[in-house]
Amino acid sequence: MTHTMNLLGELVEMMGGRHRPSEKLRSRPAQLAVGAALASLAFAAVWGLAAGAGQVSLALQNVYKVPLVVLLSSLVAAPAGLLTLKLWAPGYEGRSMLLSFAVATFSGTLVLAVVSPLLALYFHSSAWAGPMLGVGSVVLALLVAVVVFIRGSLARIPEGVSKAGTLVAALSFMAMQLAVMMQLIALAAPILTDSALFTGGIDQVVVE
Amino acid sequence: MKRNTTTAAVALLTLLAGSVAQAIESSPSSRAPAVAAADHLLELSGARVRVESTWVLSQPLAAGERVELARPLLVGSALHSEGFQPMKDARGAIVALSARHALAAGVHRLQLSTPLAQARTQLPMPHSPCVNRVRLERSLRFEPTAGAGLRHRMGILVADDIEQAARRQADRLLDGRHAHRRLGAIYVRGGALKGTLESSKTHHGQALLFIGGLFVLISAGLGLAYRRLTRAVDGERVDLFLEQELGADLHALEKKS
Repeated sequence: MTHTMNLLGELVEMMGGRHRPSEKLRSRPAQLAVGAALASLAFAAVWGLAAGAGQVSLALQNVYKVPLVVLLSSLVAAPAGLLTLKLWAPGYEGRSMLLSFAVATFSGTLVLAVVSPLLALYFHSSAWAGPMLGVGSVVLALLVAVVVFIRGSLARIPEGVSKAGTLVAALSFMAMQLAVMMQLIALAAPILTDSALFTGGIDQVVVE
Repeated sequence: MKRNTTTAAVALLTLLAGSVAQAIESSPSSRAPAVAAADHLLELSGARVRVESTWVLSQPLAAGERVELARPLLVGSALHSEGFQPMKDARGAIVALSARHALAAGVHRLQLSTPLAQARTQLPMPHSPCVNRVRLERSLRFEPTAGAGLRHRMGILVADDIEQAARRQADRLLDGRHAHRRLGAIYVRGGALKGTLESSKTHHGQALLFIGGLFVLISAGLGLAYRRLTRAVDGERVDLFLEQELGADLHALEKKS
């Protein structure tokens, strides 16, 4: 329990971009990255449960659907992002970038988890505001994750490494994750009880 | 006198031949096909597929005039239209549509409801060389069979015998002069739609099952990795503590030995 609390505390501190894990503990960054990924899954499940609050079966399905979307989109984005990092910002450690990415995912899902009680309440009590809040919370979470990721990756930039190259790599991570996320949401749909956002994947975006 | 009679007979024959030719031309069976293009929008509604069809008539149809279907619509399909009345054969299959009243050239709509299993072959396609455009709502998915003569062309599926000009003309007839490309549409002629039609939910369900399995495995892997990393970090912490607390003594001991 103490371990978990320490880990969460350190991850929250890292969201600010300034905090760095102790360099004397070699396995700590990897532990933080994996811990951030696991915590993200738990937070995403909480949001999924709230987003399906209108229907019990949907809520239960969301407990694995939303974490699935978050985890698989992150995993697919990582190789492309790391390759871009290698090409555009040689000298920037991949592990460090992955830690920033994991912390960004953690912060985005933390936003989702924090909004969850409100979301569940609104889904129960308002036909109009529930879906709006659902979509709004996702947009907010994405914005927070983007800001945290860019800030974190720039804060951990080693000397002599191009800032522009680091930004390109960060953008590559995000673009890849969003592209995968869109199709995974289409596969996993429905997630929200009353919203058709991205349920048709890229086809919906292009055609409509 | 004889010459006059012959001339009159020839003139009469010519007139008769002309009328016969005109009569043959205007008879329903030999007239050029009345449908110039057709569109079929398929949507899943429960266990049935609802088809909204649009026929573009190139010429007016007289009341009672028939338009044969490329393939009969089997029993179990229900067809409704303001302008057309279904004509059934002895088995009860709809084989043609008959104009309820005089129909002007232009757009006419039909609605068909059919079980999902039969939906692929149950489309009201006219027996005519016109281009049929088939569109699917997101609730449905079509997978052409190999050798079906359908080719992917930038987001649409087109039968081999349909040239770009014919396809674009069909689009213009159906959507107007400024018709744009309908992504995901399938273009075929006269009932040649060969493939599997299934609900997107069923198709996505299989993919989701696979992805779900992958997700469980990866999550378990992450859990294991986290436990190992925690042990490693604990070990490193102990080493660090020992080095900080006993570092000087250990160095001294090492030097002595």
